[in-house]
Amino acid sequence: MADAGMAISRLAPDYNEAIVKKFLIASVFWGVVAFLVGVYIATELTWPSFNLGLSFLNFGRLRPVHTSAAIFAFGGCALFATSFHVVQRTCRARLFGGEALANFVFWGYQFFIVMAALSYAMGFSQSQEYAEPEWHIDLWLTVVWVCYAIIFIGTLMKREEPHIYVANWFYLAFILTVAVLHIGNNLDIPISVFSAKSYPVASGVQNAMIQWWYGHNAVGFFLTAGFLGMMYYFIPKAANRPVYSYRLSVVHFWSLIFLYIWAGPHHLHWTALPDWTQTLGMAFSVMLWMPSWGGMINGLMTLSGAWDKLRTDPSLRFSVTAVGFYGMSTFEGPVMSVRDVNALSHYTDWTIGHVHSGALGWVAFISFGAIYYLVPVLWKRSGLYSTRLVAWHYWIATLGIVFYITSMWVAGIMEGLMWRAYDQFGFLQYSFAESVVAVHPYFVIRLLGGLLFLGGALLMVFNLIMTVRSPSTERGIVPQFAAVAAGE
Amino acid sequence: MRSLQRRSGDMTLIQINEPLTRAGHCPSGTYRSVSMDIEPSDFIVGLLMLVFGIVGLFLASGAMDDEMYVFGLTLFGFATAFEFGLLRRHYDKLEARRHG
Amino acid sequence: MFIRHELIEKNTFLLLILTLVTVAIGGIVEVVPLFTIETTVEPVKGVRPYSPLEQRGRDIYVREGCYVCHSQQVRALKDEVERYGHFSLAAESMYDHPFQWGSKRIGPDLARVGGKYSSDWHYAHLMNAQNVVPESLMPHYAFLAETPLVMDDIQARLRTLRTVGVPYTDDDIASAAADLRTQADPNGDPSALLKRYPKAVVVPGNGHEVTEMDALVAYLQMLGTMVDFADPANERLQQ
Repeated sequence: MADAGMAISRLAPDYNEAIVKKFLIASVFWGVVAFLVGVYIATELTWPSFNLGLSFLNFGRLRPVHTSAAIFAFGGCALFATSFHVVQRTCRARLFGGEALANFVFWGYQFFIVMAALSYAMGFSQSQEYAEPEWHIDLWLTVVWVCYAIIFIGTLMKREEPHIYVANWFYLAFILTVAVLHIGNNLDIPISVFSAKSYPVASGVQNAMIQWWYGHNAVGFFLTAGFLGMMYYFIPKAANRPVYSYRLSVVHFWSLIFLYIWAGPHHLHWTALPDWTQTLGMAFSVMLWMPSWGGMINGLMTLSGAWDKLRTDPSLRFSVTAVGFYGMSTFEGPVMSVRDVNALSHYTDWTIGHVHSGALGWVAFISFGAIYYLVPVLWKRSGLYSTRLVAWHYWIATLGIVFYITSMWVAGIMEGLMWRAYDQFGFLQYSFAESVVAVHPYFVIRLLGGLLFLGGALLMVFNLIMTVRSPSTERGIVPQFAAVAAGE
Repeated sequence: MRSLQRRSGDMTLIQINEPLTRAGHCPSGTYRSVSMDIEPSDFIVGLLMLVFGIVGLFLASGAMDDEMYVFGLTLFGFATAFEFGLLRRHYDKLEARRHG
Repeated sequence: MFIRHELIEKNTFLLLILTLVTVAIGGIVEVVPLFTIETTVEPVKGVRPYSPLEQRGRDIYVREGCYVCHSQQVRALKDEVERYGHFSLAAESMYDHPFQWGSKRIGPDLARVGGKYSSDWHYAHLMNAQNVVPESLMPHYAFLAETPLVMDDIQARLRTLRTVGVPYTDDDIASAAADLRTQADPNGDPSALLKRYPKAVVVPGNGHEVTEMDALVAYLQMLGTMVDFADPANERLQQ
């Protein structure tokens, strides 16, 4: 028995699973934090007395805490965890760089998250969306990110498999592009090396363009390419099917990473950004619909021959639904990028609805699918503590998302229409304040949606804790025979 | 019989001066010397942490605002804690090899 | 073609380089010409650097995240121009480090709020927005009135802004602290201040110290007021 075990372990490399576990736990933890802060700021928008008059709790300071926690803390840790897991397994190689470097990337990234959130609450922010941390925190992140790139690329280079698996193309594109974007949008000069305050080198319209070159591609590469990497590993794994089409992978990978970069100007329609730039942004955003749906098709069609698994595997349900929401968001996005649609939607809650259909429906759901798959694998359990709880999580969270996005669609379109409405005398019909009052009921519904989503996540936390604490069973051994095996 | 595997990613070979006894059975009074090179990864990261710790103190010392002060001190604390962690892991590994 | 892709998949370095090249193109095409095409920022009269108090107020606006609820960009759309005033020109934010055009309106656009309300109204509104506008969702910023403005870093701030392209003169920087105090002192003599920063608004202050609230109000009161759109020379604006 022992010899057989030893023989097996000589074939497979000794993977660094500790780092994957650390990042997984962090991801779940920060997810709950992000959802909680989101619920709190939603409450502040619904009943502003919840700002409590306190500087460190008000909406302006807390909003970046929520967005950073959701994107970088929750999403980021999920990407670290899965990319480290996937690159090792698909390269059949242990992570490059040794334990110390991997641990530095983990703890260094947690340090970045905590310092960023603390700094916003203390009243320090560059106030550029998704790039709010001040210069010194940005520098720290750069160091951590370079180490991440070294580990990932080093592992690719020492691979035993000759081909680099498709998931790794996406992870690599994500790591490289985020590095370029981060540096490009954070060229700042501090007023003193001892001060947290800095000023960006660019200003006005150029700053706006650089910011949205960054901001849209934070979505495109951090929240899309990276998570597509996740999709390309965990859906085939959970469904036990190969990826639907190799050719589609190739075509949609290159076209996606090429086209996405150009889409930034759709955040600046009708502004002082030159018309030629706006037109480029719109054209490329519309074209972007195609490679995005290519990815969706590739992910969904991987299920062919295995659709029945959706009935029995609730965590696969999360991943597949995620791809569905991905398709929805990547259709809505190009629609909203059309200048005349944008004239209505810009500055309204429709944008918020769009963001959350992607963030909750795609990013969070594909992460949940991966997390539910990985926890039993990494902790060597035969399965999750309860698949019924996963189903409950799924339905509660989906209901939450539906409440969220539908309420924001209605609020957003209502705002847009009210702001442009004229009365029979040719005057503007509504004051701005009237539009604020009109959307209040939808803010209540949105809050409910967020609460449901948080509730589902708490079910997940309970389920995962119970899974980890349940008696250890080697994967493949049915529990009732475990006692017999142990006795040998 | 214990087999020792060369772990992929590790850059050093483990040198044992004397044959190991069975787990948990070191004869008393006998000094088992086990030498182990410091892994390059530990060394480089350890050096980095030293630099970060000093930078943190430097920033905190001249901080013009609360946030830089907190950042500097926390960076120093982080670097120190990480350094201790590196040392702990190194000696834990040494301990594990010595006692088989 | 797919035989060649196998080549990329088997070579980390090739995959890396080709990815970097692919993602670089769009950024270069969209960003670089904005710095080289001169008409990107319209040649218009009136735009000037922020006065020290206005700049401090702006820095407070930035750190508090005001842009998450308030935009500062009037779009070239009929209803918007009617509600807020002339559509925003690129020149009007040329000294904005960082730009604060915003992406969401939970509160109204502020690009041309300068001069629309009295300074007293701004003080009251920032202290407790619901007292002035009952439907407002805005938090209370009373803590700004209780926080004295830190003044000893004003020269460092202006110098850094000069490094990134804002044309402060040596005289501006030398007089910065004095200008800060003058702009919050209604009994003082603002002539030197106004010579350096035309159309700067002197705020009432609280009589004994300059607070962060004073700075923020000074900033808000000059938003959108720099360019005189009635001036025929400014009418021919082309991008």
